[in-house]
Amino acid sequence: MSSATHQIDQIAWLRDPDVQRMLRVRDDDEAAFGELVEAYQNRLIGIFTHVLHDSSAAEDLAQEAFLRVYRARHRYQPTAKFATWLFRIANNLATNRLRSLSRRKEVSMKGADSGRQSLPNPEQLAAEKSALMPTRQLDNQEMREVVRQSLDTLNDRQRIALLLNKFEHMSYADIAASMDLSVQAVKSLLTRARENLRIQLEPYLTGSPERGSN
Amino acid sequence: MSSDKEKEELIAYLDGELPDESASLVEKSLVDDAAVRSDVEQLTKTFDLLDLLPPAKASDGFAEKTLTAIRTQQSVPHTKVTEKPSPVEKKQPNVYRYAIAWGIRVGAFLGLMFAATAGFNGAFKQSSKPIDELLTEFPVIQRLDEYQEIGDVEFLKTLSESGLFDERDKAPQD
Repeated sequence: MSSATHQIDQIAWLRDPDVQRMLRVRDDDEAAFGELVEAYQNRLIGIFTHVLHDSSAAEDLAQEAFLRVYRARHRYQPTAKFATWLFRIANNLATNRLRSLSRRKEVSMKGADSGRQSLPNPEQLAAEKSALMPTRQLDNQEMREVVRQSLDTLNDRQRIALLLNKFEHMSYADIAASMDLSVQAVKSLLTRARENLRIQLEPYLTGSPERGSN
Repeated sequence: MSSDKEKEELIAYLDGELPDESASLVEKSLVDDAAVRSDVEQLTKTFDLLDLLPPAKASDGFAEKTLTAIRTQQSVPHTKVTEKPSPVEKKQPNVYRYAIAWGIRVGAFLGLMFAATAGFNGAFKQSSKPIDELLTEFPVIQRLDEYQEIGDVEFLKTLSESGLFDERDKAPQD
């Protein structure tokens, strides 16, 4: 990228109000940092909760993400939307936490039930769905649980990409920047995620209950 | 949908990520193929079901706790985060730092000297104590053999009162 193009990009990102806030944070404006925390706290905690299945751990991780933002403030350069930068930090934290949880699980349990392992695998889910579906429409609470379980059948990267796509309305390029992947890799990841989700949830769609009873 | 590539194109189309030319191709297949239309409908509906997931909400005071955490981690008073010190104030810490450093050095040197002196005096006093005792008791030590031969303190006192020792002490002067 030429230096002129780089400058034009920087000027473009400057229109992002959160980038403006972050530049104030860079100048040690604590009030601006408070505004960013208020603006993003629920969004970060939401992503972490869906990834970790633990709202308390999600809050801890969200706080750690904000602390990292603050510690890095003097090095901040507006080269992307603020949200992209923040969710890149969040993705790194979530990935590290999942890796550490997975390692701990391997060491301590070897197959025992705990945390995410209590969630059904696709076969279990299918069996549960078959039991639930034949004759009646699920209420919202039940349907919410089915959706949550369907989301949990995705692998971690598919789930994070899908959550950023769905709830943060991020473009493929922004998801790629947040997850340190190529745009093509994100495209493939989201395709698999959406397709898996469709397989899991299709039996519950209105007008096709008979599929779930098979 | 048949191939992975076609699935990717269809989902990218739904996400608004396709360039115009590729989007036109997907739109054409939507018009021509009922199976593609069914796929799009199912993908859209299942994606929309994610809206049922409950929205997360930070606990009360989360933002304040986070701000407190950064103040704690910074280990500086809150005012220093928001107020910039003047150039004069910026230089003062260096002067203080030098003064404190030299104060510590001088204090350490004096402390070391005091400790060395006190240690030497203590050691000398302890070591000179037996010598003082020997000097005080020297006359007794000189006559220890005689005293031991006498064996009885009362008898020795009787001899002393009789003036025997006085005569003996005076003898060399004669």
